[in-house]
Amino acid sequence: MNWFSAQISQEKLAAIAREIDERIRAREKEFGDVQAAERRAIGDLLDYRRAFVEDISYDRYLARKFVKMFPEPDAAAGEPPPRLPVRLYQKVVRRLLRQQLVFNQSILGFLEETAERLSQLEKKLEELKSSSPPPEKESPPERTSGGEET
Amino acid sequence: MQVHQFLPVLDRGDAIGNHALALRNLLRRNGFASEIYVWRAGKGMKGECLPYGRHREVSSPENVAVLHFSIGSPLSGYVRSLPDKKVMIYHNITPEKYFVGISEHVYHVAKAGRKELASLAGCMDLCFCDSEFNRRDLTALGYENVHVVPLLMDFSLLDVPADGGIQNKYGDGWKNLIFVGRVAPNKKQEDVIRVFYYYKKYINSRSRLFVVGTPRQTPRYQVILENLVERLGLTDVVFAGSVTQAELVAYYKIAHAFVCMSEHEGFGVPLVEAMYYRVPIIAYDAGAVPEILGGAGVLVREKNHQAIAELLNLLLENEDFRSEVVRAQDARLGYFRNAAAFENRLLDEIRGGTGFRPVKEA
Repeated sequence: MNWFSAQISQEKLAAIAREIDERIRAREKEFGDVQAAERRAIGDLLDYRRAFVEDISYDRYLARKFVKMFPEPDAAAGEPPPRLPVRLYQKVVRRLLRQQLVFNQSILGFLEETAERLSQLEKKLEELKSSSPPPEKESPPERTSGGEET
Repeated sequence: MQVHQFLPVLDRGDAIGNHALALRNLLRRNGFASEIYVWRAGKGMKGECLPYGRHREVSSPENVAVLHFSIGSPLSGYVRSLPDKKVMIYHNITPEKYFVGISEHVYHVAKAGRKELASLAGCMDLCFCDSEFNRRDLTALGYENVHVVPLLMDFSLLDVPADGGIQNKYGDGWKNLIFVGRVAPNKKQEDVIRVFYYYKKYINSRSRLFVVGTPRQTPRYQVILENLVERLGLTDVVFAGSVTQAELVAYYKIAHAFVCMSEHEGFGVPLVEAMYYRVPIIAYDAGAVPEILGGAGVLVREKNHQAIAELLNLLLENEDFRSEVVRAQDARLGYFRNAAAFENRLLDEIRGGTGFRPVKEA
């Protein structure tokens, strides 16, 4: 069974699959292992729980929204910023801070969970160390009676 | 004798909302008094629905309450408490596992929704699902009398004039790839971006990707996607966000291929929309996707992004391949456009399953 299917004849499907293989091989010759390069670039970003905090902060997402919602006041005009957008801005910021708090708590929870697991493992290791008998000193091989060399 | 519907939120442009509106109109046409009761009305939808607290006035064992279930909400408890005959239309709940590390709120809502769904198992007189995939969900929870009837889609919405600005800006001979759907981790936009990365970097630099859909519920996932684009050094990825109907039509009209890597779909309205605009589809074999495609489009079973990019290239450059795929999609679309058959089935099941007959209002 092919890794893909479509309502076309089996011969055509097989020909397409062959062509794909050939093209992938040709690219590998030219560019090397492109999948490995892609994986290196991505790093752990798609491992959602382990992604770096700064990678998934709201800053950038929101920065873009802010630009749309709150254009810079025209300083040259000397007019105070209108009240409604300012209130809206404050409301949005409060909401964002709450979201950021929730997010920080979830990360904190994850870190605490990991720390707890680590301390449990350390305890277990200590227990194992204390319960196992101390290693015996190497004794010289016993002499057997008789058979002494003359 | 009345048949009323309940859904948490009625939003414009939302597939479930459209389905509820279509069903309400169908019921009214057939002599039933019918309203939509909601927990919250979306923007501009207040005229189309009523707050669910007002339903008490008309509740009666003679009537039918139809609950649209797609997420946990107070409506589940309310409908359970009613003396009315009960019908569920199940649209699926995304498993909460997808939201770990993405949204604590959505994680808990999805989890609570699953619990609510399980608790309603013995309460329903009749159930409808949009797909066989969804039906399996319900029967696994012990639901009985479950019928599969596809979503009622209003295809006239797809005929609105396209946004000219988008068509002018992007209709320039470049290859435009598209995915439409909420920005959510189960939809796996990340995989669409990774396919596009190979296509753009190694195959065709004159190409774009349009990611159309709202990130409202999971903004953190949106940020991850934007970071992904940056790390891969990609250009020409357009996050269109939430769009109007005219903009949506424009994106479909400039698209050369629809790429869906979703791992959990209860139905997949955008797949049907892509068929409508004759955009060839490449989709990952998961959830209800193979069932909706019904053999049309190109279904991939492995997520080898590089190989999918090559497949996409062949689909775009090989006219014979492309036209055969589109022809199969056209045939499949005919099934979904046969609204009259679905409507009759829905009505027959409601009449048969609940023992009700409509009474023409004076």
